[in-house]
Amino acid sequence: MSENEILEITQEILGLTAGKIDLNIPIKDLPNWDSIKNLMLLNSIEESKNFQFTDNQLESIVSLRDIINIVGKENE
Amino acid sequence: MNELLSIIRDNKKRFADIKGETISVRVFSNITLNMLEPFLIDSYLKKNLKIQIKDFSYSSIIQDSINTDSSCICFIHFDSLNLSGEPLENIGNKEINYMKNLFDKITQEVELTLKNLESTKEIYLSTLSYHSYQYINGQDDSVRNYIEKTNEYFYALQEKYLNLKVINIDNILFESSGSSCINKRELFNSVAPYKFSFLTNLSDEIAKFSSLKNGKIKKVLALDCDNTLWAGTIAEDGQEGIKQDSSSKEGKIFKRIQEDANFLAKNGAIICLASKNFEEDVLSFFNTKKTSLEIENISAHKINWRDKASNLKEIANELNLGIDSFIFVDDTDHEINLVRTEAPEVETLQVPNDINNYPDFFAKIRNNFVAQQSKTNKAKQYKQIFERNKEMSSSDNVEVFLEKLNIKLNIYKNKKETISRISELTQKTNQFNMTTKRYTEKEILELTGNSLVFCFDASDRFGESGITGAAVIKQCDDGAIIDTFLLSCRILGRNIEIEFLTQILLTLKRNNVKTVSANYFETPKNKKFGKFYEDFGFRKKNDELFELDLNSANIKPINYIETKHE
Repeated sequence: MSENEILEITQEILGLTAGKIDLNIPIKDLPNWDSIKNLMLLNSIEESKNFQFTDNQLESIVSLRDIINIVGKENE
Repeated sequence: MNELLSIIRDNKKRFADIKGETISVRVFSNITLNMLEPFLIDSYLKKNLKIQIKDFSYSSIIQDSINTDSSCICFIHFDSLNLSGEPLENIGNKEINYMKNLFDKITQEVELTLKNLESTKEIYLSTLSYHSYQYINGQDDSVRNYIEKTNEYFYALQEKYLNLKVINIDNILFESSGSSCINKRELFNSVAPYKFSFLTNLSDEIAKFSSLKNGKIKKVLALDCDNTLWAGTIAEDGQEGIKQDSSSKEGKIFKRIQEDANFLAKNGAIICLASKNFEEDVLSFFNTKKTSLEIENISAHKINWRDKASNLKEIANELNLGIDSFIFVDDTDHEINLVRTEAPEVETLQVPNDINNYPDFFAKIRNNFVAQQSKTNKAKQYKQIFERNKEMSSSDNVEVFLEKLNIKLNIYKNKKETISRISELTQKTNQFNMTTKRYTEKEILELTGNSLVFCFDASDRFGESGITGAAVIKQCDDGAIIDTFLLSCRILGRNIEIEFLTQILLTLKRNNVKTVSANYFETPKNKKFGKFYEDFGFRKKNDELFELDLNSANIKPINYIETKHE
């Protein structure tokens, strides 16, 4: 799953227009964010890549950049 | 592409394309089911229905269900992974009294919620799943026993609440690969235990039953031939190169598909072929080889080199059926995408790439059809329609053609034996249905006590059509009002609707009725019959009401239709 795809799915789940997402701010500070949308985002990444974030990985996620880094490592 | 991303994007696009009202849905559950939303919208859109989820009620189900709008569709899901409100608690370790009280509380909550939702359009209630409980807590016979008893009670509630349909969750769990569709981390984190596969299958199941209630019935299964009904390409491999029997592995799979299609034809589905081929090659194959799908069970076919969207539209016209009652199965991306674009109302299904998955893929199609069909073989009736319409379109003078048809009509009034069929007609008829009022058998029975309920069966030289039209006439202050007037699309095009109305009006006139009013409520489906009453001679009072003065109206039966009142 590419960085672009993670951005696209985040946009769709949060209902945002392209270019409005700052990868480095805390995910919970993104417009329209709530816990259900967070769950949908993580589940969609997990199901798409057929892997599961570990509890440690989940705890370390603050921003979208963190997700992209974890997914990038899983891709290696 | 990410599955959720493609569903959300597709939903947006199709939502804009599909006409008609948007139905509100409320979800009541003891787990977090919010992720169901995109999947449920997708499943309804596949059935040409638009929904919006009004809300998800989580903790105070009974309270939240009060004052639910009657136009809402409601889904109640008590999940056995959170029976006590604490997903980590193993209730099997508790005292027997604790368990008894817990299940009593659940049944009470369900019944109170159902009472609150009694006047709503549709309610779907999940069974409790012993299997999901078992995946987390291990086997426990006493819990299984309580779950089975509770589910029996849920099913019995369907007798009491006629708007209720119970959904078997264990079947859905099984289809979603059992325990692998449970996300244990999220069960304990956010009480959202299910993965997308389960949510997809659950949504499909709800939308399947809901589409039947909303008149979105699939009647026609249109099948490609090469690599859909058999392995191989008839034009290239020749008849001998085609695999469709038990002599090869691939042949066994396609034999099973043909058997399922044949079974469907015998149980009310209309089977058609839409294939790019030489017509004589395909027909000769059916006539000379032992095919499990028998040629007499194929109602219509378009076998040529034209695009399949146009062919499907033509078949729909020739069978007098709406194109949205079609499911089309094909193996190629090109044909599937073309039909999706050119005839978006058709539900398109592509043969799986891995042919080993084809039997269970087709079994789902079969089960969806079986859930909605009357168990009669309609192949013969639709073959008659196909042949009649073909002959009519090649005839220079339609009136002369109709005169030679030898049409006979038997009209029945308030006859008990016809109640079930009349109710079925009100539930299923969408095109020539002037008010689209849906009546249960009980309601029709009540109407026969205080109104006139007519129906008819028809025949002509091509064959018999059975009971295919009905009308409900109610008394009003200054005369009578036509509350319901409908004809099955199977018999349209022979002026039978005019003769049926004529005979009803003559009956009313004989009973000294002076004025007859008629309702017409426009829907996207019945639009083309909006002028029916005016063309007959009724005066338009407003968009939904027409009136006829029986004393001054010139009502004459059609001379080429022989009518009997029974």
